[in-house]
Amino acid sequence: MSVYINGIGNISAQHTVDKCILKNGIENISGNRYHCIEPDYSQFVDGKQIRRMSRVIKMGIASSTLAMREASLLSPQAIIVGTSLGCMEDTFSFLSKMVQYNEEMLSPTAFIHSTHNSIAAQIALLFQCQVYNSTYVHRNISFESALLDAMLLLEEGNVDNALIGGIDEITNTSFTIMNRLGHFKESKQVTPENFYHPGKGSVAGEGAAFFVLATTQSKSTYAKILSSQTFSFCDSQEIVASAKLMLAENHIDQLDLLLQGNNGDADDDAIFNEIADSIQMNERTLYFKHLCGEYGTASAFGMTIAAELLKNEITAKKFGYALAEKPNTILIYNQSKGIHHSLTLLAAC
Amino acid sequence: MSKPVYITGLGLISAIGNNVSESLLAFEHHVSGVAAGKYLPTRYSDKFPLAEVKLSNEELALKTGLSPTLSRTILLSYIAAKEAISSFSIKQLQEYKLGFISANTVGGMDKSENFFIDYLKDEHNGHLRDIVNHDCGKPTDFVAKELGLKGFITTISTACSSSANAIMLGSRMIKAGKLDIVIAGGVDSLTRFTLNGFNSLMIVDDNQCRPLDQTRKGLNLGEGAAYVVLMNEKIAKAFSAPIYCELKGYCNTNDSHHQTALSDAGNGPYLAMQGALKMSNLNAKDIDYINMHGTGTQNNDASEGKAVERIFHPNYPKLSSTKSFTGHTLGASGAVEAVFSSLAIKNGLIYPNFNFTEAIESLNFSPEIKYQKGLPIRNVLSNSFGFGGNCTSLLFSKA
Repeated sequence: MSVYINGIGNISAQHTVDKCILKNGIENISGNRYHCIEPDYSQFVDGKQIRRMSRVIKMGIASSTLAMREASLLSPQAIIVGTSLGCMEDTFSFLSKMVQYNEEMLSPTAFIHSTHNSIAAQIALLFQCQVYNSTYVHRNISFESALLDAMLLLEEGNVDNALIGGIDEITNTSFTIMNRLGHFKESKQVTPENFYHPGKGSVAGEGAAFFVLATTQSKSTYAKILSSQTFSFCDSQEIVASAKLMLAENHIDQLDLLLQGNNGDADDDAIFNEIADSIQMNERTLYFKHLCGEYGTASAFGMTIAAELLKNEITAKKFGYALAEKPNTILIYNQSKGIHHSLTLLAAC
Repeated sequence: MSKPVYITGLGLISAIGNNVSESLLAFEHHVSGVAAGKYLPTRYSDKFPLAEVKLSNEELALKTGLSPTLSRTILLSYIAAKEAISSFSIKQLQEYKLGFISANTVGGMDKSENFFIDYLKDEHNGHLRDIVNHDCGKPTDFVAKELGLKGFITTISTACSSSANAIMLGSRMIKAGKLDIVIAGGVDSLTRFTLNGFNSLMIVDDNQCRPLDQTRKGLNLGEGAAYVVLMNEKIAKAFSAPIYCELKGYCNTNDSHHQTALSDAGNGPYLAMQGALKMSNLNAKDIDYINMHGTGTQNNDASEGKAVERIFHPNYPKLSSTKSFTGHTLGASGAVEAVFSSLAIKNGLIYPNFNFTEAIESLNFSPEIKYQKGLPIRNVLSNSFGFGGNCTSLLFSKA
């Protein structure tokens, strides 16, 4: 059985939501906070509902709608979302009011939408889907957990398509706190040219990347996903061995491209570079986080890049990548602090 | 036919006991864990009874050898996960493809809400050690690392069905041959965030809750953690593991009706139970006991009741809501009740409904009110439904 990517909806710091990036190329962003370029949400939800929705839920609704439209799918047979931090705007809103008003006179609205599963739930509600619905919340492998669940569902044979997504938002509060925890470089330090200069911390990012996966190819197909795996509390030798095994199992003698989640943090990038080195892919490795920033589900954005590169010759140039020819196989490797790692292997159709 | 997946280990901590055997005694002696709040610092201590684990963070730390500054969520999760694997050696487990799949709804919110008191005065304030627990993945990672569980690790958050989905995923991964052994379950500790959230929805009872009862007025919030160990037959034999039961069926559906309320017809619950029955190749008449989601809210019990009626009328199996003893442990509840369901099969148990007075007028059944043991219980359905319309039913069968 093959798993095809038949539709993508991608809200990111680049002009991906309207696909203008394929015409005009990438946005050069500076600073330590990469916000999404958002669509007019009234195209996706009616005005009354929009007012009650936080930004991350709107992003989820819009990007899932776009993915389904592209795949000409009216109703998915499963909805699975990965989000490392969930609906922070509503969470912090309820939390702040609870503290300020000393646990009194609280409106339930923010609480209701603060639950991590409310993105997947709102998508189900909008499309009236009574099907399998789940949400994964495990740090930098939240998206891959959703992907793995979807691939398992497709393999089990009870469904032949699934809508999956990786989604996280930046809020002022989350940025301030994560900045205090040393997650980000200083704003003035970061320019498009020096994004990957080794330092301490990375750049805050956010995004919503949704995919329609299906067992049959269609005219909208981007690529196929051959395999995806996550590894936790493992050393780099195990990752290297698993990457080699994954390639061998899929009869790939020479991988065309390694797409890695390097983020400009010296400690993180040392791990990335070691892996690229160990599987002899130094010369054929590209990065993607200078386009989207660092966040728990950034690898979902990475998968949109891989899918676009495998589909269109033009993508590489417009995304600013120097590639001699269109790749046929791409391995995405992401990790954070050496704890959770993910490998996802894609091929052109 | 896929190969069966067995439950070979159980771990549990909740308001009715710090381990599995204490919890069973509470049912036997008919003692509810719902009481006046003692540990959660909230202005509602006198107003809303809570189903708290009867140990302070300091006592939990002493019991585990962990730091008392950790999130209570971590401490509870560690205790239950450790009990679940207590009949195996970690070294031995590590020789296999191992998975730890946990679940929770608010991560280390018990610490985040303290952080925010200072943070809101000045954004430079607040102990950072209180906010690093915030995300839902943190408790899972901490416990995995502490117990030496490496390999496949993830966390699910689908509100009150979270840990039922963790158990479901664990079983699916074993059936697919991706993992050999999975420790699956979930945890949630009591927080002001959830208490105030549920209170703002006006669904918290200011007395002991009365699920599946005409006089019900809402839920009591609880806390706890529970994990099961899942193995296929070959591995269970290799470990000479105690087999509690088989996890024979499961189904995850969405009610897609409302963010916080189930449909009157109980469509999501109906589809979840039907799906679990279908997967198990069982009929309604084969079910001996249903561990109801039974929160005690008007909406849940009416909707779930309707779904039960649609499937089982007129031959209802024995049923009850153990939340009348444990309170609603939110993200942990699916796993807490999976432990009870496993024991129901292993020991032939039926759990009573605490404090039951009057059957729901619109329904044709009422819950069990006496603890019974030594009965021939072959098949048990366990329901877990949550905000966002997430509905999951698990079906446990005699191995």
